[in-house]
Amino acid sequence: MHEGSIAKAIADTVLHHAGAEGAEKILSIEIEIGELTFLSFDQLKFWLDMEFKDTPAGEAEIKFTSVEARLQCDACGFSGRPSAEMDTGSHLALPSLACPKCGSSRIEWIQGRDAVVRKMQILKPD
Amino acid sequence: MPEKKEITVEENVLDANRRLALANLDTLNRKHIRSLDILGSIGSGKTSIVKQCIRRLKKDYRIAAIAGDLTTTIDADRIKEEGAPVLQINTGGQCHLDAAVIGKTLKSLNLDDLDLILIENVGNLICPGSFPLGTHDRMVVVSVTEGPYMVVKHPYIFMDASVLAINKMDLAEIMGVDMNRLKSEALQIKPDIKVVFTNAKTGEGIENLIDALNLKPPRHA
Repeated sequence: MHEGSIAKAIADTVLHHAGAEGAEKILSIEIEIGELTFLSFDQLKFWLDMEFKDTPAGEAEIKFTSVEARLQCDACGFSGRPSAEMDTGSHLALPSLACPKCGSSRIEWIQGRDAVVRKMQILKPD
Repeated sequence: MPEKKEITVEENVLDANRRLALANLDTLNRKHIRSLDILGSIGSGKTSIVKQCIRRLKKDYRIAAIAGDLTTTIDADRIKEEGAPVLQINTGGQCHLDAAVIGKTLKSLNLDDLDLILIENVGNLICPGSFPLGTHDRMVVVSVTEGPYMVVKHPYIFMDASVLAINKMDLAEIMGVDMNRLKSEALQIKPDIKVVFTNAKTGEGIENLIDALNLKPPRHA
């Protein structure tokens, strides 16, 4: 449901940069979405289409890339993916937000919580 | 001929909220105000817990509450009964509070006259996770009437939470919900989360919750 507000922020960013470059048209936009943002690409695309209607980005190709979650442990120095233990009873993957190596909760998420407009291709007039 | 050009943008759109959240935290710290962001489904008992906390803490703390909701003032009206100033934020369609709206709300409060601000977020277990408000702590409220899978189905809401209240403990047996199982699942997800069983209707467990939230007497006590 938060796709609407994120799409607005993405559209503002894209149109601001395109305007600063004097773009007459935006051809493509590359966006990286962290898996811990729980943003649905389909819903984001829907909202971006609404935001970009009647703008230079109206026909832009929007490319999404998913970025996996990674954490850094302050206790043991581990850096990598969190673990997801299988609960065989209900077939649910129950993730652990603790360090998968030492079990400490003193962790920092170093990847996977962002929504980044990486780059875009524009068409500039003569 | 128009020219094709590639532009490097490298802009994280969630950073704007994070910067505002840090500014809110700085404002609160400068005024020596503790703050709590309360997350949970509609009907989990967030408002009742806020009311119970105010009832117990208002002799030691000068408290204000901020109630987030889509359209109604039901929560704010209920909290007002406890005698604390309360501001209602109606988000319209937005499914979460954000740091910008909290920053604006802080400006309308007399921060020199406050020690504690309790913020009840919009009843949603996914969206608020990406929008820190700049509070000192986050608490999640889950009630047994939401069934036995509330913790495992929403593991990531605990990411930034330090306390989990499992509410409506009096109804656990009738609902056939094992509260200890909910607790162990929460601890499996986040081993340092403090889990407290509460009945916000009667106030049972609220003192334990206040301990878990580490709400020590303020400077004016």
